[in-house]
Amino acid sequence: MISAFRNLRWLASTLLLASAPAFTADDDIMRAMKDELARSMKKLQLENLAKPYFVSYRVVEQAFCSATAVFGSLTVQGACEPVGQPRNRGLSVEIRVGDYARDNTNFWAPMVNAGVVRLTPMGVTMPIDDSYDEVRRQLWLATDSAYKTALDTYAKKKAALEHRTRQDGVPDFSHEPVIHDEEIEPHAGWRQEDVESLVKMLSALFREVPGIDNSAASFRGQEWLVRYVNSEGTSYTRQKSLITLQISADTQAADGMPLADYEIMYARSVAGLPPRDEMVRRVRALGARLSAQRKAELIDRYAGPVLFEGQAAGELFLETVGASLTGNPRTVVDDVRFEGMFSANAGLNDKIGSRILPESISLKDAPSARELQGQPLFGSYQVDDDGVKAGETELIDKGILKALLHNRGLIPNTTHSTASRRGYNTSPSNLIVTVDKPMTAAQLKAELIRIVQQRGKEYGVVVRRISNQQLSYSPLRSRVIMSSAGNAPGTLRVQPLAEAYKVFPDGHEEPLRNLEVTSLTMADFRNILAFSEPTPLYTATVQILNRTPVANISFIQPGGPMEVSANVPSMLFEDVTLAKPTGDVPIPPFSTHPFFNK
Amino acid sequence: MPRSIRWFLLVVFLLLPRGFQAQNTKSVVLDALRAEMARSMEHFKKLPNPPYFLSYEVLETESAGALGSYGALAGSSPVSRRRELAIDLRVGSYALDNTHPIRGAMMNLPDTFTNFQLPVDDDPAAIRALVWYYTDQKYKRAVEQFISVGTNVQVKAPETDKSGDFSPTKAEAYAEPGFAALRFDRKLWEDRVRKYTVPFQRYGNIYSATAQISAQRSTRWFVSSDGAAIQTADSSYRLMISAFAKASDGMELPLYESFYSSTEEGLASDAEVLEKIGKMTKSLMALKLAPVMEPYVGPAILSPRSTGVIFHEIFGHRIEGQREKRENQAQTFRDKVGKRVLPEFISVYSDPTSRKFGPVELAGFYKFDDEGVRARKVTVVENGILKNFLMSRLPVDGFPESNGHGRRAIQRPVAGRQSNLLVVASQTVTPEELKKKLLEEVQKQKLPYGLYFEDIAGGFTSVGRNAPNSFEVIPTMVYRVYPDGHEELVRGVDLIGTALTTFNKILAADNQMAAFNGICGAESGPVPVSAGGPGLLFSEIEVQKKAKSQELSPILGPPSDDKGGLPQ
Repeated sequence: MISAFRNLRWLASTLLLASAPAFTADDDIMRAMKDELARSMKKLQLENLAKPYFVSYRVVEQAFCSATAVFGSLTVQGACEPVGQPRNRGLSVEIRVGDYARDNTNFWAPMVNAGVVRLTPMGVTMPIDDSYDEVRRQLWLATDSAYKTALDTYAKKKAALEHRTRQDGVPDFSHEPVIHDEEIEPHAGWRQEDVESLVKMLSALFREVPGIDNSAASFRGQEWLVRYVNSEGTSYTRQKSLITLQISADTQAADGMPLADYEIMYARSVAGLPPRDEMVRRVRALGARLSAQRKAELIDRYAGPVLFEGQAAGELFLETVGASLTGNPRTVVDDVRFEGMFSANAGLNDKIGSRILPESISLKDAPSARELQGQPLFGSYQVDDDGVKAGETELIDKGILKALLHNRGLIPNTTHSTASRRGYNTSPSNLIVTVDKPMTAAQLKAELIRIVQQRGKEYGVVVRRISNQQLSYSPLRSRVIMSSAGNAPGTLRVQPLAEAYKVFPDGHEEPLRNLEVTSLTMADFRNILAFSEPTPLYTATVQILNRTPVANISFIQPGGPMEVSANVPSMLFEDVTLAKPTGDVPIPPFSTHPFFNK
Repeated sequence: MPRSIRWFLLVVFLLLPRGFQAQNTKSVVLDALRAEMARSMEHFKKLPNPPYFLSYEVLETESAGALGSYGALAGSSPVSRRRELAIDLRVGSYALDNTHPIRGAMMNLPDTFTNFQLPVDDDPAAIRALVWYYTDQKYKRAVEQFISVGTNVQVKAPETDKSGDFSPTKAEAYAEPGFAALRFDRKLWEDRVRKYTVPFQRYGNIYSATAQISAQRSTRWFVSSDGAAIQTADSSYRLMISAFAKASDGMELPLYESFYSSTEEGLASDAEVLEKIGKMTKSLMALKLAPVMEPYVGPAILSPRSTGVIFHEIFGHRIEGQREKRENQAQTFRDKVGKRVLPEFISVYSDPTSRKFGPVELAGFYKFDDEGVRARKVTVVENGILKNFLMSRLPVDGFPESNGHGRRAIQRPVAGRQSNLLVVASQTVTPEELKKKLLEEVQKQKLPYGLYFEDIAGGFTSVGRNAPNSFEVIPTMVYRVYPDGHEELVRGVDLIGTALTTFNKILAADNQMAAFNGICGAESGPVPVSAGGPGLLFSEIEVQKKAKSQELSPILGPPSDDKGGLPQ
């Protein structure tokens, strides 16, 4: 049988040659954006109030292809058209009044947006026809609204600061070079019938796995086409695509404890997905893992050395250290009672110059890199969403925190953006880790056993998989009531462990289930005992821990994937406490699954 | 507080109910549902609180649409399909079950909103796998609720209504003859929504002008432990044109035109739509210049369109069965069955079996309600005397049975809802005579003018006890009518009042009839409805000032004014 994907690879490469649109001349959309921008900068002024000193427009076209199947049958079916035949287009407008040193941003005072057209967080709805006139008309109304809102906000901010002295002289907006850029990735090459038959085939594999209550296979393809222009003269066009193929499953152990796990595969195009056999193997492995978890042992508590390997290391690192590497400017609030709500850089701002990881680790953020050791990096871009050219930022050097990522809203002791604006927030992109004197997997396990014996413990623990809140969530499982133990201040929230094992001195392993990490803090990362070589590559969406408040600038729509890729080494922690959850446990279903027990 | 919001359509005359025949069409979905239902009920029998009733309703929705703005295409969705399941599982007995309200409890989200997606393929194994799991969850929830109910009824005051929580009904069998996919000519509609919004391009001061087509095909499967097995299918096509201008004081002036049909070809022709749009643009320009109306009370005529809306709000929502039963509902008409509630010349019917009103289709048509009860015409008021409520399987004292008005949008539990509401006057005059009567009232009350409500955008009302049971109806075209008969367009007011008072003010009706098609929102979600009636004269109608936008018009003129930037 000919693999559907061999055909797709051929199709994708044809598209690669045929489809690169010519952006050297401005198209009607770009022309409309530039013309209205010019008019606005020249003429837009209300009475004798301040004129804008900066305006930017961003038009984002998105295309989607999604399909979800359960047990071999489609539950979600969405039409698949590539970007360029857009089914939606959104506009974001950013207007600044004042000057680079102080403008209407970095200020919080909740207010409904002014103007005839309500600016929603996702921008104004734009025509999907390439109509110069209608695009320009929507730009006109949105600019008018954004300007009036900016004036109002600026006045409130000035009033708030009237009787206060600012302690830091950090400018609200940095000066950056003017650039022109074009980044066009090939289309993802999805075809609706192929996508649907893929998810049906993968989800049907669960017919072979009795004991799993719910499962689903989900294909999500996205393409973005962004056009950007600002009044400083920068403009860029960017076309990107991302495929996410996710298979999730959940069930309950005999005592009722919920068990959930997932597999996820990322690719820039359908052709980049693993071969069909590999996908099948991974789904079967997911089924087997979850089935094994049902029979695994449930212990009350473990305190001792823990080795995090593979996906668990990636997930742990990205959700803790990886999510803390950004800095935000201080937010002025007009009511001082809210001052505490937006404390800048909760966590790592005070740690610049301090050692936060062992000396053997260095880490940099590298959005301009597209692959690492032959594997694609999914946080890549040439220009960030502010129009700043992407470079590299050294974040951690021999364990010492050197810098935090930030955008054109500067943080203390910085003069330029690190080109880290992705959508609404600042975010890491590709985190490249280097390890000095790494250990092999065997050496790490041996080290774990050595500590176990030294402490006189019966066993140690190795964790190979950690859940991801968004990915393991099963919408069907609405009745689960679980709480994670341990909420001491400074404790990092880690998702439940999905695959863990007791490791005995003779090397053999026994599976454990339903454990949670209860007491991990950032300080524990400083004392990691040993690392492996940093492979393989791990990609995930990351919940950034520091967020700016919803600004009065409408500039929120992401113009590309938000995933972060990182090559995270396995990590041996000296002391971690693991415990079973303390919440009440729902009883299993009253009857058995109809397919397996007729 | 349930709210009802709607849109419009102009229509003409009467209808005839159709018979329908059941057929024995094989259905994979019905078979899978029945098999899993039987299996679940068998397992539950072994438990201490087995359900006494279980039903499944699957709604498959195929939808498509397009949006045009100012001559350009702004959105286009090709046909997509989804299926959702609603489960009604009852533990206890018809007299008292788990759906009994728990008084004093906070809003009960798990039971008021569910999201059970089913496969769109006809694969029994997949369907049953999901139905099994959802049923188990629903059952556990039902038992928990029933335990709470049992105590709650004892610790709270006795309830007014003693009729129980559920009524038995005949188990029906029906299969829709013929199943076709949604018909939607995407290219045709994309061109149309562009074409319909082109006329607005001339007006730089109309800031938003859109045309939206929504096409939907709904297929329903229903099975119950009573033995019902029903399969029906229906299509709807709605075209809505909306635009707004802005007066110099900032007030936003919206206007709407909408069209409804159950077939793609049945919607209005291009010529008809464009003619309506021509009138719309003229009205928008007139509204910009119209004087602002002040709060006022005086005699008024409601056009037939407006009568429909007002009756839907002030009357229709008060005759839904649960409104007469629940302790937190107004129970406006509970004690008035057999008594006069409206003028003697007014009768009111609710008829979901009515497909058409003259040449125009009615949106509130259905063959079976969402509890599998056969639809039928209900006489609500006869010559001013209240006869019936709109009943679901929730009984009310004196009304122990459903009359086929149990409706829901998927994801919500069923409630008594409206269908096609028809107000009929047995004595009528011509519109000219009605206007003469208006002016007589104006003179009698020694007022400077009366009012005429020509067109209304929608409205809402409150039916609980924690807020005044008032209504607000949102007119778009209102005129002052002076003693010499001349009419002056005004802007800036909404029509307000309270139900019982307003009913007492109906003086006369004209011989015109029109209906609107819209979507009604209330506790069981948005459902399609219609309401129609004649023009009515009220001796007293009150208006209040509308909420007004505080935003200025744009600072710069439209880009079309900017000759510099445009190369062509």
